[in-house]
Amino acid sequence: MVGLGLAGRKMIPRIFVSSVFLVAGLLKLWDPLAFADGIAAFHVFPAWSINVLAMGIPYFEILTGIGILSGRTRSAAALAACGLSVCFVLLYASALARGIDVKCACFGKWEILQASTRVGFVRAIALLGLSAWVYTKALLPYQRNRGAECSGERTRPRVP
Amino acid sequence: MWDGALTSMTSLFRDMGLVFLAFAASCVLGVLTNSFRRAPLPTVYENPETRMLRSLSSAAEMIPREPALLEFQAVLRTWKDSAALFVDAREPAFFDEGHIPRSVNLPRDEILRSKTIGELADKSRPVIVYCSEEGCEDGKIVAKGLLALGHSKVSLYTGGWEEWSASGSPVEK
Repeated sequence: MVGLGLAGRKMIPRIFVSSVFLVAGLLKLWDPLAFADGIAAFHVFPAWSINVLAMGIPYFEILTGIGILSGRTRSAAALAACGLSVCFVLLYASALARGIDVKCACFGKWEILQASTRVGFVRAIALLGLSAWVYTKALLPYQRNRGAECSGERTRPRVP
Repeated sequence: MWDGALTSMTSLFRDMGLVFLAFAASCVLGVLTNSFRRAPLPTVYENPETRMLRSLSSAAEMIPREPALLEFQAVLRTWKDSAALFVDAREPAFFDEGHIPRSVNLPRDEILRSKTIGELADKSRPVIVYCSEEGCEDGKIVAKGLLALGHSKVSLYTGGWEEWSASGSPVEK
């Protein structure tokens, strides 16, 4: 990784996770009906909740994507990314266990990004891993700061 | 050590609160902006088949043409000449108990399945739809649905299965 310092290299997972949520949110916002069909395909949610989720989750993903890039809300946004990823993993796991073939429309109607249930499951686990990594890195400055306070130093949280 | 754990827990709870607020705000924003869409989502989800059926029923309502109404003698003559396809609009359980020979079963909720029925592939072929009796609405709905799907010669046998079976005409089980 020539030309990139440690801070720059640490930014790559953040930018990647943020981009995934931003792109996914924007594409879902473009076609909420396809996303509603995708949610319904899991046969988990009651009919009254599906459209509300299809309307709200795109905005939530966009907020998450923006939040991960910003300094102050990074840990909360990373936690949201972890929460969403855990939900995706659980949904795909339940679909795999029941033998349901799901096209989740996670990236709107883009066929090229509509993965099979197995691929979707692996993708969700990878996203969960990256989100968890971003979350732990987001927490570090606060812990460092707290440690410094205990030892008598006063520092501000370092937010890369 | 305890201090560090407490700090982590505090920041975790703060983050969880923010996440919850953001999620609630997103849902509210989604519901509000939905009403400004060209085709807003309904409050309760409808699966693709229901959506298609709904649009089909509204299309059927807009069709000015009504299916031609046929009496028993005309239906019997057509059946003897094999000049039309008979479509039974009753539920499969009733169809299995007995139906007009050479007819196909197409209940109102499965009208979209008509595309998969080979006998209905030719849309210019005359079709006679029947139901259980004269007051049965399903026959009319299926007939109008077939008109909406592009079938040009759709008739409705008003007497239906009750009249056919009572007349001693051939039946098939």
